[in-house]
Amino acid sequence: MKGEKYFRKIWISVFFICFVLLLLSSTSGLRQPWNPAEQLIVEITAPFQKLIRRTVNFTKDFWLNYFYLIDVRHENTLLKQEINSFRRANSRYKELLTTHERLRKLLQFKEVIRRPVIAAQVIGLDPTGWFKSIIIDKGKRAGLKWDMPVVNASGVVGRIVSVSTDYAKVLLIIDQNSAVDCLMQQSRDRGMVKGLSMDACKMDYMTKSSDVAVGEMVITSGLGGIFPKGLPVGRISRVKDVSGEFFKEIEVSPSVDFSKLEEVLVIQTVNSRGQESD
Amino acid sequence: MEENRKLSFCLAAWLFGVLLTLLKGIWSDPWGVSIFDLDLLTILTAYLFLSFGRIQAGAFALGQGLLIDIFSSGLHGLFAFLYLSVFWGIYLGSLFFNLRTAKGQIMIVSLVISFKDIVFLTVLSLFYDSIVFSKSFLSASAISIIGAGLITPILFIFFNWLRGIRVREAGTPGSEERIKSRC
Repeated sequence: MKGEKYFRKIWISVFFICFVLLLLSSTSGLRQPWNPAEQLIVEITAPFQKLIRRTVNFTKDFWLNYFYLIDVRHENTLLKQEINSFRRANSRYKELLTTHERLRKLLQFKEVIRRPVIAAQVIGLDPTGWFKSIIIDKGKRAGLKWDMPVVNASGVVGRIVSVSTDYAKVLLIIDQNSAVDCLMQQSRDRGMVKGLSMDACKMDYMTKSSDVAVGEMVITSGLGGIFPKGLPVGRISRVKDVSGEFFKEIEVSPSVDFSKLEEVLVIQTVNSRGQESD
Repeated sequence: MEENRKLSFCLAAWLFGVLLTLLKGIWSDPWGVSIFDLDLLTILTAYLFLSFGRIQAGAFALGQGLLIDIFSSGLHGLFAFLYLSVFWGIYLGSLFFNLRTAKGQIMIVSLVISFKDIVFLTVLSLFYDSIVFSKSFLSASAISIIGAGLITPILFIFFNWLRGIRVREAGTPGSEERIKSRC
């Protein structure tokens, strides 16, 4: 009985070996496509493979896009914070640089004026928008008086019209109430620069015989009794010869950019009206 | 209780007016048009006139005008005069329109701001040789007249809300008295 069982096992083994050898010998050297049975097996198993593959990919993606990105997000937040802090620092340095540049120009201008000056900061503009004046952070305590001229590195800003202990109001040369006696730098013709409450001024009383050209520099004449002689006021931007009029129509572009006034210098003069009143 | 609330609102209105004038001097665009061109002081004067009476509104208008005069380089007393004319404009307007209705509020505030601008230009033409009109002045005036008029009812509702008055109550005559009697 036992020998019979043993004999059967040998025969089965021989059968499988022969079957495999037969298969091998039938396909050696040839690239056979899947036979129908193989195709059937593939058709049944491949969807599972596909599913497994997708599951693996999904898990991998999920891991990369979520768990991994948690760290990336955190890192991104930190980097953004760092960039913001660098930006703030950069902006602070730029501001310091421009302030330094402005103050350097003011100091250079101070040397040109050769008179005692008081530096002040602009703290406000005229609230109405119609009149053009500024409020500065220096007043009587700093030695400011009525009618003192106010300048910056670019030229004439205006004159003090009101003063309190620590603040003063400056009427800008572009205000309609302002008039400054001026000279043309080259031709030396005289005229009166008046404000128009716009970003340009007009020059009155310039005779038709005068030789005024566009682009010529306008400076203070020193005759008004307020502004020292030779301070830049602006440049001629338009000249019109109107027939039947005594004087030329002249437009002046101020040297000072009044929309960017931050620091100014108040020139201390001995003949200001405030001195008399005090 | 109601008196305290009234007092606090008046005080807040005055402080807001002062703050507005100071902010205008810091942030307003000298060459262009900004949010500050909406004449909020006129709206506040109208609200005080409606809710607190003539004396409060008149004092507020005069006080705010004087403050603007201090910071402005215009004629002394020009803005005090202008805001007094605003007060009188509101008074006259309230005789013809109902300041308690949204329509009346829009009409009165818009007309009063137009009146203020006309008075302003008249005074300037009297005291100055020549006045130069800039585009920004005209556009600012237009924005002020239309914009301020349109936001007035909204601001009135907001002010009422701040004072704890419901819309229905605020829109009916004698609401102030009713609230007082309730308190």
